[in-house]
Amino acid sequence: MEEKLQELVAKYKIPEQLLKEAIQQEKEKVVLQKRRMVPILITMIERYADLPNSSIENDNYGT
Amino acid sequence: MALKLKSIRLKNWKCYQNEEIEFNLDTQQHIWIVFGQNGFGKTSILEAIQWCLYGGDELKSSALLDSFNRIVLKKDPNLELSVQLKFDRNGDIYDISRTAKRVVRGITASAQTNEAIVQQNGINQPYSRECIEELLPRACKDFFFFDGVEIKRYAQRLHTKETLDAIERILGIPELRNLREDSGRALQSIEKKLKDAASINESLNQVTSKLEEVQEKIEIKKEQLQKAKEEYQAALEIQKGTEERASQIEELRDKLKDMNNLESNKSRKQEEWSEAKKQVERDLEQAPIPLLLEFVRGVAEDMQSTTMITARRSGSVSQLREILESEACVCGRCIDESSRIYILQELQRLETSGASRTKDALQQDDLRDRLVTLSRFKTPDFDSLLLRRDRLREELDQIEKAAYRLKKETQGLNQEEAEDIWKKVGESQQKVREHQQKIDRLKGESAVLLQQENELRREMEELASCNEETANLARQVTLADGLHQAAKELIEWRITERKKTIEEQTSKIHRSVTNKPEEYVGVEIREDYTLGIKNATGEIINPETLSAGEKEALAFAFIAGLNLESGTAAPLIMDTPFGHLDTGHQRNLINALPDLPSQVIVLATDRDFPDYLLQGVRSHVTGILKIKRLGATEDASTVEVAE
Repeated sequence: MEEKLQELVAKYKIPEQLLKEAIQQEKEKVVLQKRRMVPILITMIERYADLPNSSIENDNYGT
Repeated sequence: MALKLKSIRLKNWKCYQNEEIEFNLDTQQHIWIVFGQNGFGKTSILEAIQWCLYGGDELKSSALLDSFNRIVLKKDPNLELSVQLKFDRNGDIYDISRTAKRVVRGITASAQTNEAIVQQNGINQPYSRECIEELLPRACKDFFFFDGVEIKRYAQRLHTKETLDAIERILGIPELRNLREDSGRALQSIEKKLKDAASINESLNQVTSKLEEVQEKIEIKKEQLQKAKEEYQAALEIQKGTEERASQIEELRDKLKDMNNLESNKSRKQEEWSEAKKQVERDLEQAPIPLLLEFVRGVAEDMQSTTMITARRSGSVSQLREILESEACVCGRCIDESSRIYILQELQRLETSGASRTKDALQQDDLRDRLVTLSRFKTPDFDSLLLRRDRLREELDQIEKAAYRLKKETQGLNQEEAEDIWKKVGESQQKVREHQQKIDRLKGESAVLLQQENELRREMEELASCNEETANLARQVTLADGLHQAAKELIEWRITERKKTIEEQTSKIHRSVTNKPEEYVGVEIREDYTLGIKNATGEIINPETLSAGEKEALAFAFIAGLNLESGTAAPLIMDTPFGHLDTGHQRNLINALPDLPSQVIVLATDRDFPDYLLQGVRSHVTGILKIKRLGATEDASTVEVAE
């Protein structure tokens, strides 16, 4: 799984933490009838979009 | 991430008035056996666990009324019952308890179930249902509460939607599906924001509109592609079915030829047999002749000698007349005249009577001739005639049997279909090729559109970067789109990867629990999670053709495989699971228990765990408990540690 996540973040140029955090949030809310995840995801995306590009790259490649 | 049951406390629940069953988790072994005879309260323990977790969803109010302990109920009609479960998950203690109260109003009584209370490490959790769902999802309860008869449905040809959902839940697919859906909605929402912000910039506005158009086209292409894939799958199924039928017909075609040969052989043999039968009948009609043959021969010979005597006598009379009428004396002692006349008169009489005898003699000659002919009658060889007739009948019977068998095997097949089938195969293959071409074409068109989308996005980002707000929104769109695409790809990858690993695990476990490890070499998990068994020749066997025991072994292997690969091993509680199985499957399943990664609690009778099998796994068993009756009543049981 970890390897696949690395591959996907590189392919779609997204921060690794954004993907992992989003999956974790969905996992926690999977039992809820009304999970209301869209605003949470938008907030997360806004947060990562505010980061400078270099931080995203560092996040992706762990350097 | 193993979840283990630490203790169960039952108060006024069925036959248990106040009982606590503890499972020692400070050990490497993970199997517990709770022995109890039928009616002593094994299933009551399992029902208590399920009711505590899922409440009214598991046990309706009317059924719950029968769960109050009847002894205590006599003293207190408004009795309260409770079940408390303690789980350990990697050191976190989950305390789940549920109570119900019996309420009497007039002459009617009802049961009021309270919501479960969940504490994690002593702290109350606000959403108890969600918390329980997260620990042990109800949809997946068959994977935790093993019912040998119930789980056989996992070996069915088709799964219900609930079963499919339960399997995907274990595999961690729903959260990824949710992410795909939610990230898609987030993307739409951010794109709308960007559009609103960009409406003041004409160039950006144009690019955004173009992007929207392209995205719409992409959506249409996606739908077309999805439809084309479905059509392709359907065509593939048809092709597979037609090819299977063709190969069946190929086999049957030879049989059809054999049957035609048999039919012509049959009519030939039938003629031969009828002829042999008639021959026997004819010969039997003449059967008395051989019996009379000796007599006929005797009569013919007698008649022959009588004829000769008559002829001789007639000759003698003629000679005597010649002598008497002759002038010359030949004796020297001639008779007197009166004697001569007397002799002549006698001769005359003899000759007269001789005439009538001649007529009789002629008739007798004729009869004699016929008797002589009859005496030459050749006796038929009845033994060989009958043998031949019976042999032909046997041959005919064999031909008829073989023809009947072939007719049955070739039932429904006619010559027309046999000639037509390869044409149909060709047509179905052509259809599959056409659908494949359509998919390739749509994929190509989609790729072009995606390329356009990327270019437009880049253009949009460049234009948006002139303004801080739109630049930020454009970055958000890129991130949201990336997240959405990644979620989509992740689902497909996850399903394929999980299926592959579960298939390996299930195959491995199945080989250890099946009675036919040489014949059944593996398990196939299909697209819809239905199962098939691969045999040694590479064919896939439909599980519905298996015996009940084989189905249970297959379902056990699948559930154990799911449990192994889920990464969230949950306790497996088995209620009298082995007693109805044959000894082979029983031994194999019991021997497979130590290899399971989860805690196993077996509620068993002596028949489920005979001593010789218990000894085999004894070193893996943490504890053996025994349910005992308190007095001669079915309303009072207790659980004691036996070993």
